[in-house]
Amino acid sequence: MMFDSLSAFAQMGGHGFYVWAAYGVTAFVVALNLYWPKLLMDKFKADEEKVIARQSEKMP
Amino acid sequence: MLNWFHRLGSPKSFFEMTGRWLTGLMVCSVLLLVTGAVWALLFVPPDYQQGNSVRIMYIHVPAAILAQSGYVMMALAASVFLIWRIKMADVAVQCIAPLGASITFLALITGAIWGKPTWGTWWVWDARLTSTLILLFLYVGIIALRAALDRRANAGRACAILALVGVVNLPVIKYSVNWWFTLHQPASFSLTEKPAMPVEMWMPLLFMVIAYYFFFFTVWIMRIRNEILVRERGADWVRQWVVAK
Repeated sequence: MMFDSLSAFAQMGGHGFYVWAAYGVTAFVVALNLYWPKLLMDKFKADEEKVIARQSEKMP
Repeated sequence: MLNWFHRLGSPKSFFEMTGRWLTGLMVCSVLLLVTGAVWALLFVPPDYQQGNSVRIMYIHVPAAILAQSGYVMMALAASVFLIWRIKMADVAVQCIAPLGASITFLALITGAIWGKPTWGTWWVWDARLTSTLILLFLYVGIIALRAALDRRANAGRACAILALVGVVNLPVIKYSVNWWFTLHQPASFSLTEKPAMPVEMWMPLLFMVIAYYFFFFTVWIMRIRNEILVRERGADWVRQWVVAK
């Protein structure tokens, strides 16, 4: 562990803004990359389920 | 082995095979990235010149490596599509472009943030930075080109050709720090030589590079699976998969 206290960890010896901004942007882009395809797949599934349900109604 | 590659070339078997790996891949990527970040933020010693801003290296360097190696993978897929007309190769090109663009964006933005405390400026029109910006434009250009063309076959061919033309930018990025006198430092690492930094600094960096690769392949596979579903919409196996889920 390189820091004595939580505030020292947050301040990063005066470079806190830069370090946390860089890690923040990275975390956001990584999370978005992982979440976006999952969202699209769920949407595809929901849409197709509707289509299939509609078709089975038409053909009793 | 050949059979295995053959199966990856078929959308349905690709979808089924990767469906079994996906959860594992996602868990691995997140665990590796979080471990790497904790290691880099808490346990790596500060640099004697840069202080704590050196911790940005652990997210900047892997992003820059992936931005370029992602482009190599895209160009390989593009050439497979142009030579053998394998549709899955076109899907691979289509799905890697937004991912590559976002990683290149990360390399540029973390580089800019790191540049401010280290060089005193966010941006310079230095050869390394400019050629990486061109890499971002290449990725974005491929996304835009596909969106602009209606017929899928034409769009695929045009994107593959653009991807291959853009390969000339890669040696420019790689050797820019040697060819021109740039603000960006030359590589501290190579496959053949001993690293120029102590082990407690390069170990977490290597770990982060591996973590980024895991993350990259996971997202690429997720995107390819979505695109397969979209292209095969209406096929029996897709309907069965939707109903079974």
